[in-house]
Amino acid sequence: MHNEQEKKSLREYVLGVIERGEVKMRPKWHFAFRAALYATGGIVLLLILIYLVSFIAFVLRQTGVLFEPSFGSRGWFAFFGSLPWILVLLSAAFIVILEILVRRYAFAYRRPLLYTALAIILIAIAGGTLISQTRLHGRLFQYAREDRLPIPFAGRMYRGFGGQRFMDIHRGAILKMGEGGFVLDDVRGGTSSIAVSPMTRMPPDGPLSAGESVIIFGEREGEIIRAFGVRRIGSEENEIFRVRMR
Amino acid sequence: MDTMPDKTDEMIVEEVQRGDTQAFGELVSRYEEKIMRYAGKFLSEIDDRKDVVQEAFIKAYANIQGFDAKRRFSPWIYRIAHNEFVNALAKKSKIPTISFDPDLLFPHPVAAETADGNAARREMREMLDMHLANISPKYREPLVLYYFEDMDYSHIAEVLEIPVSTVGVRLNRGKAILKELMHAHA
Repeated sequence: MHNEQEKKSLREYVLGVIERGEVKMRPKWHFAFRAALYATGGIVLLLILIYLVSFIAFVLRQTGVLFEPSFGSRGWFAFFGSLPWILVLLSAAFIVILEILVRRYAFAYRRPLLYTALAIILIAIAGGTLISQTRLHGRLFQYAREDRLPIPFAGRMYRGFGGQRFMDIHRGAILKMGEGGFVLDDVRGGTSSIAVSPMTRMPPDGPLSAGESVIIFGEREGEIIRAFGVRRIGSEENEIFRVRMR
Repeated sequence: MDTMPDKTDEMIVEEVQRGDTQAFGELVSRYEEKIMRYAGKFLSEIDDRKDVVQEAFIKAYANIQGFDAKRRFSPWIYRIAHNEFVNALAKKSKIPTISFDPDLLFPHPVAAETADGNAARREMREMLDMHLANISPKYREPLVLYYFEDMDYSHIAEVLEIPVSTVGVRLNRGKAILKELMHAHA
């Protein structure tokens, strides 16, 4: 009896609130608009993340850091030390925000967090790699160097990250082979003497010859670079960078 | 009393969405006992449960146009109630409502739903009634939904917006905690 009365009173209370207009039913468009807003926000965040990943890939190639791991543990050590950590952390923050955003959808919350996080990372890497294959960043970098980039901060960002020089990574074409090393036509426009010793990790695919494009991992001592390792790279890699750097 | 016995919840929602506010009263009648019971188990330390439940129904009405009538109404209304309860608890204890749960991170093997007999279920309910306040809300809620609201894993997963496998993990851990409490008080 008491239950029945309580039941009636709750129903009546709720209907009373509705009838007095104290609560309004939100229109359908409100939900459609909110869903569109979330979807747009998610897409924009994903696009920014893809752009960031592609920019990291560009910076790594541009500075030569991408090739460092091929020189063994010392190369890996240098690689982690040279990563653009601000960009990596910024990308990680975007991944977290995107993860929070997608968790509201059934397709995401029905699965473990790891799966959706991996899916976001994979999409970002795939998209970023695809964009880094285009000339987009190269052109923007060129504009930035010429001070023709109309986007605020972008010029400084491209010049700051893309123009970094690391002491231990050098790229260019072999100008002349010699005793104990070779002369490198640097992509930055100068020449350097490369000293090769029996300890130098030479390319496993045969001896070097003049004209080949290489990347050298080793410290510069004045005009000489003492090579810890040398690797062949595609000549087109150097051509792209040569145009950009000059 | 059910004035629309031949209509499903979702059919009634469609009527409410078309503007029949009285039909919403029918949904309140169908769910208020369940939601009050759920509130009683979840908010055992809060006195104004009725206010929280009323607020849940009012929120449901305000947002009913956002409900997709092709989906089940029951998890939707329980989800709104769950959010209201979490907010009420957070207000009372001043704890942040957003917390990271490592159980959600990794995949777990989906635990098979055990077909407890009526006697075992009744026994479990009695045990839960005795020790519910000593179990953290994280484990308390799936236990309540499973044993008192008779929901299956997928239904609970929809209410809590977590993977089905995590429901299994939380239920098993909740049961283990309950057994420990039983032994401690034996």
